[in-house]
Amino acid sequence: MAKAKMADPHRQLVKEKLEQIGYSITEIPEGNEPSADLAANSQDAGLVVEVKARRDDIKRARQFHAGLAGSVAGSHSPIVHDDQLSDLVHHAAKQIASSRRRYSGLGVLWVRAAPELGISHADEKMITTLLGRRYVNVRGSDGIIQPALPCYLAAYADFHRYPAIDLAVVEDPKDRALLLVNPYSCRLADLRSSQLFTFIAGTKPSAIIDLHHVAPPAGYVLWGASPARMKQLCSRN
Amino acid sequence: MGCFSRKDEATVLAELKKRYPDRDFQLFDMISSIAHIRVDI
Repeated sequence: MAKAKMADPHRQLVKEKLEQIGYSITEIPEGNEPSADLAANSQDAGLVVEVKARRDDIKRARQFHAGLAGSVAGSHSPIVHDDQLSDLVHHAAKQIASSRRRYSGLGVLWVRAAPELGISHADEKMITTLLGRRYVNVRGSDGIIQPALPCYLAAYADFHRYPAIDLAVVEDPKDRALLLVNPYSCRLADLRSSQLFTFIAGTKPSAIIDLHHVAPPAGYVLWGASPARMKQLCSRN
Repeated sequence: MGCFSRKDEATVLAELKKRYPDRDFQLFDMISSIAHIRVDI
């Protein structure tokens, strides 16, 4: 039997943000099957939203709380494709796909970096995990080295594996959000005309990463060449 | 379009060079470093 999910401050916050944009929200009850958190309705295609909060400094916080005055709790890790975040994306895709049998709308993964000590790179790692981002330094024919630029689809890109996720909103610890378009989504036209997309495009276009519109000097995109794979993915959804 | 398999560094650099033959590229990942110093007041 379906029952209401436990109260979650992150889900509540996302609900309020979507309501401010103009969506009317239904909280999806918990059932026997995995389910997303929110169904957002409006004049457009609507959204099926799964909210994930990522606390990536539990170990550091534990060290910090147990340490003596003057002790240092630190960490050092490359911002690369992250298996734990990838697992989270996998579960979110399953939840969204399952809920879309009952609720219609674009699949949205909404990730919030929620560190205990206030500093986190979970947002940067999530962007890297979804978009296969690495960085390049570039030296032009004039011999001058230009500032580093992102290079997308240069590593595992989880968006490619999970086209059920059409959009991702990634918030840093200060609630600053980026909107990531899944370049492999089969609903690109719908998502670009959605209220969520047009709201951000109208208020802060720089907060959107849409690889179909990225070119130097904003960054490089290493598209592969497999339209058949794209067709195959779309026919599955 | 397709990019499921991780491309190794040489492949990424070769693809970039093929598309932009007049440029040289160096590939890298960002590193996150955080240090909290506990100060009891």
